[in-house]
Amino acid sequence: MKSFIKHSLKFALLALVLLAATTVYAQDAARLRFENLNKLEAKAQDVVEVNIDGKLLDLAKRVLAKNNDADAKKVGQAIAGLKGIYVRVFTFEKENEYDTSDVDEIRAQLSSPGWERLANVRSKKNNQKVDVFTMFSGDVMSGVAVVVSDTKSIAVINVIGPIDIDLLAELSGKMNIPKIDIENGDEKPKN
Amino acid sequence: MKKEDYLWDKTGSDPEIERLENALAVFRYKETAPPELPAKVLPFTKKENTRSFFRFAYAAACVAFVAIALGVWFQISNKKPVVAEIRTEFAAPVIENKIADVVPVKDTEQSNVAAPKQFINRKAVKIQKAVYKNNLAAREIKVKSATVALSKEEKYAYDQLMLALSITSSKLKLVSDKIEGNTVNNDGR
Repeated sequence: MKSFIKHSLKFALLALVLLAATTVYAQDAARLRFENLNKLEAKAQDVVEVNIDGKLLDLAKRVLAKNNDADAKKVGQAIAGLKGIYVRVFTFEKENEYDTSDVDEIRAQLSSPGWERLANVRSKKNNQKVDVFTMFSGDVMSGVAVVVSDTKSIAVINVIGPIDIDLLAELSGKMNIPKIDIENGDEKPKN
Repeated sequence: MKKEDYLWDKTGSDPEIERLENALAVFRYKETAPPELPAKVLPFTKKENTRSFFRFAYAAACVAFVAIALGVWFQISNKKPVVAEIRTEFAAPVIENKIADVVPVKDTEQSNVAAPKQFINRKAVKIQKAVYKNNLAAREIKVKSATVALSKEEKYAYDQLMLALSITSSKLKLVSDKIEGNTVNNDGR
């Protein structure tokens, strides 16, 4: 009887470790590498770099929870399971000032197994390319990647953890999530 | 010539007049007992003098109007024309106050307090009126705009998250709009 309990405990512990490892792997797999974009900083006119995860993210969530506003609640709901957000936005003064292979390298990462293309928009105007990828581990979303590029700008967004995409898109321009048109370099906060 | 003394003072005789007198004797006044009043006498109600009533009502209305006007005047004149605060509360939509819930007031906002005096004088009356009209609304907004004390780390974290979310939501909206636009174009063909 004792050996049965011992074996059961060992099995449960092993299952927990495996589950944790799978989760960590899924999170790591959803994380994009931005190193190749670093060289663009020197060329770009404007650079936006945001890395928010771990304690910083928890702190921000706590601040959001203090706000009793309905939109704030929605944002809080949309990012409840969020593990991190990494953003890189490069805006260039002139057209075709960057090498498209730099963005293609990011897109290549998204062709690895696990990522599924959710949206793919191509526009001849400004040679705009928009890609949205998602990664799922089981039924749970483990990552989102958005890559937007045109002749004068590149924007790469990597979200780790589940996030309500529709709700977040709906909240654009609300709360203090201003509508930012990075491509045109215009910031349009809500009046 | 015929004398008419009989007609005036009944002296002498005048057969014709006498005949007429006799003929009309049935209608001659006879003193009898006075007629009895009806048993039920209707009470006499004095009509109210409506004209004086309206005069009184008019005077009362005038007094009330003057009292209200004075009250309003004193209330307005007692308000402090703090232009910067009022501008923040009324010019900014509620959404701005929501930001104020979590983000402390910046130095740039404080600089608004030191607005030019000339500007205050010109705009003071309009602003005071707005304050009076929107007194309740202002109170509500003031309650909403009560700032939450945040540490530097909390503010930084919140700003970073909001920046990341703003860019993310903006891009997702862009994709959504593009897809919807394409769908509409395809349907329209």
